[in-house]
Amino acid sequence: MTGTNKPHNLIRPMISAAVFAVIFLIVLVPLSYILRPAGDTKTRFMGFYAEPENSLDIVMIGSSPTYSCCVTPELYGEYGIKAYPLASNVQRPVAGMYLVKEAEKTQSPALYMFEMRMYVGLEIGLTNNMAYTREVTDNIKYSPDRVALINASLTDHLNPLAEDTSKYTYYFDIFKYHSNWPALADPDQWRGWDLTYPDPHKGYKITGQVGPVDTPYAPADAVPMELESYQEQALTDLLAYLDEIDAHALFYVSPYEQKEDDAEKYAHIREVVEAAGYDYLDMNQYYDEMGLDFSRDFSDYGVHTNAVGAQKCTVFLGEYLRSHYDLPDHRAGGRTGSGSGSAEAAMAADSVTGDDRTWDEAYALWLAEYPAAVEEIDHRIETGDFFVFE
Amino acid sequence: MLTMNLTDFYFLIFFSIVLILYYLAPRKLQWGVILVGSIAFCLAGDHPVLALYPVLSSVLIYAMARLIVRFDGYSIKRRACLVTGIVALIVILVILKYLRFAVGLVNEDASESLSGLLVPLGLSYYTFTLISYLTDVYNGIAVPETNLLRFMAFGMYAPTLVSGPILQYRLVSQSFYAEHEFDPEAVARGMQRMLWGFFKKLVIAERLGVIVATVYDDPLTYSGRYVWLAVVCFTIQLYADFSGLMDIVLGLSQCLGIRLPENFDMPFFSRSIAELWRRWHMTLGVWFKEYVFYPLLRSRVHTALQNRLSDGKDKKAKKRAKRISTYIAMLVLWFTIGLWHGANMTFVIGSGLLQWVYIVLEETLDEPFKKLWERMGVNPANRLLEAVRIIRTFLLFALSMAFFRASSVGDAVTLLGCGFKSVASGTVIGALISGFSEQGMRIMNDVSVLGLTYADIIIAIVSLIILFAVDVYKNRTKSDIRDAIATRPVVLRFIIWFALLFYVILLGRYGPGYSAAEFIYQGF
Repeated sequence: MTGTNKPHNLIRPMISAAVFAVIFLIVLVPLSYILRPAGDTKTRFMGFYAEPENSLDIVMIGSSPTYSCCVTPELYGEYGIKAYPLASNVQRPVAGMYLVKEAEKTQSPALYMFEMRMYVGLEIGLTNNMAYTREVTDNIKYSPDRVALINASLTDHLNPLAEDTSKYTYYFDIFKYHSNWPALADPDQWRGWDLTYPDPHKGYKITGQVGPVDTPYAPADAVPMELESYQEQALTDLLAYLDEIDAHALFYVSPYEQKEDDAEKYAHIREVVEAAGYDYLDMNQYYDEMGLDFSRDFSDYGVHTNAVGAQKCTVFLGEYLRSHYDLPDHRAGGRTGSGSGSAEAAMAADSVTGDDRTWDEAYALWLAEYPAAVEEIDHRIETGDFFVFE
Repeated sequence: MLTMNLTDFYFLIFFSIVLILYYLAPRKLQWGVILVGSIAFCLAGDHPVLALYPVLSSVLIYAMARLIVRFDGYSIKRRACLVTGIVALIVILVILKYLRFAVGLVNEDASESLSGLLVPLGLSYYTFTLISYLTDVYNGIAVPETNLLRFMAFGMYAPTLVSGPILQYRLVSQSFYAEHEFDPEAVARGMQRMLWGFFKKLVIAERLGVIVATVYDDPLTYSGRYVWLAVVCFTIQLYADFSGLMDIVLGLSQCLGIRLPENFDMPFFSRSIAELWRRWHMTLGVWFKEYVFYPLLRSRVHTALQNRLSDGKDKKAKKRAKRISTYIAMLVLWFTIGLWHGANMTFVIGSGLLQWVYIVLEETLDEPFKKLWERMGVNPANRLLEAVRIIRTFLLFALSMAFFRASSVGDAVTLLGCGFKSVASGTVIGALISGFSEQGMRIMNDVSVLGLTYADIIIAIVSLIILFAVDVYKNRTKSDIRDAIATRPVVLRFIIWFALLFYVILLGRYGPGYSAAEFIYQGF
């Protein structure tokens, strides 16, 4: 075995080793997907991959307001627009460009929508919990772009990487999630063996929680203030990439109770985005038009909209998109939105039966779940059972 | 003392790079890749400056060996070179490892001031390897290496720095310096052995370690059978941990074409403590036998003691004197072995003096027992007696390892004392069975009183059965199970190795959120 000078026949063992390695990878990749913990972000991302190629009109990218503010099934049912959120909790702006790249692999949307709330955040807050990064990196498929995203995301300039966040565990997340092996006994986990499985809610997350707050003031004439350098860079990179692929984009801010300096930073974002030739929409300037009631329509004290608030925002967005963009109507007959602006009107309508049954089902599901959520919201308000932060 | 752990992802990447460079390098310079790799390995530690210790030690011993061969026969200069080399290494070893312990015996406060002394990785291992080399050169049974860098590659061979095996130059050098062609079969076999080592360490040792720590840290709560369970678990943990590491070290050496001496030979199948120590940490035993015990027996002191103990004429008295003086030499030997494991009385007692007591008792009682079996008409070699001997040996060894594991002798005594108290709560097995009957599979993720989830306990049991089965196979056939697997059809081979590979990947305790403990013998 050792110390011999005889040349060895390398062909057979090398083929054998190569076959072994290939089989190993073929098993390892799905195994790693299966072991990734279940959660609404995984469900949402798997749902995105499950959408037929080039079938989406809009890909929405951003943090939690993206999927809690826009009822994508309603947007389809009411306005015939297929929009899907590639969104995650406290999604770091640095992920934006890479998620566009990820989306471009299977979709050619007419419009990208970017929820901008995290761009006014501070890097130290966005990196003090690496779960914010992992929610994205650990829910997309293995690819060179994923590696690039990890490289861009794992910075230790403000918060040193903890010992348990070694880079390799991001590249090969099975190092982190192998201890989730009991999940192998759960048939639901196996559905995501290729990280592709339809999401019946089309990325939207409905909630019947209530956290009332006074109607906030969002100044429309704030003096622009630069973003923190990391977010500024992320925005610059994103704009450059959108320009490179010649994409249309709408940068928007969903309704919420803004903090100090937020309005100034949004004013800056608006300047930058519009100078680059893209659209900008601050929904905080349209509380009355949307009919938002901050004492009823928010789940957690002015941060995220609940089912009722989301429905109102969706109607506003639907109208805005219909009037500003030439988007196809995927419903049967290509009828335009009802324009009634009420869920009740939508519920009164017949089933949609468009070109994709899963979207019809998602709309039907939302129609079924929405009344229950409204009832829950009313009950909570009546009993004073408001949201409690964990 | 910190360095890359051999189970680290980064170490595996590092090793892969070394392996590729090793076979890409000109055959005559393969040792150079090992040297550079070993230095890089040392520099990767928390205190890179500590790499100087093995470097300077190797340089010193190389120089002394070169001088030894220059001088004739039994000249004083020749002896002086030997003594200088050995004393220098021992002094460094004593200062870094034992000075604090020795000072602490006299003055605890003074010993605290020495707590900042940094110990290089593998101090005890490379020191013994180098002493062995110098002694063999002095005795004329090893040909000294003429190239300093080549010698350094051997003296600080990185995998052995973690926890051995202790090398004997005369036995390893031929394989070490041979020009190795890339042999896919050897590489595959080496990786298979590494995988088996990962299985022992990450799946078994790390799980048993949780049970052991749970009970050892709180013996008053975990009295009775839990204490004995922890004592037994630690012994198995130690074996899985240390032999697992040896499998990794020997496996990766095999990938490089280097054959290192075995350190374990299924020690828990031993019928006596003496036999167990011939099969446990074998290279340490051989080293102490060759470089401490035999010289001690040949020493004037021993001869004088022997003469003093005997009457001078009586043959029986002479025999008795020889036996007693040998026991005294063995006492020195075992005390030293205990001390080698660590500067603490727990090691001196656990892996030293208690072993001496066992072996002396075994030898003293051997004859009376033989006579007893004869009188009773029992065949001393019958299977039942053999099994009893194996179990007795294991339990005695486990008992001594209670001291080895405890943080102080007092703690060990307290722990063992608790073993004789009644248990307040029910058994784990009882809880497991009742839990299953009441809750089905839902109980699996609950944490048991032993600190592990019930699922982990089941995994530990299944893994121990696999380990035991493989060792039984090896013990019966005296052959490596890899050889048997290699003769099977390729599909079956793939299934077996994939099963083990994914078993380790899924069930090993490693990665973020879980910090795999350092190898137990890494600290020695």
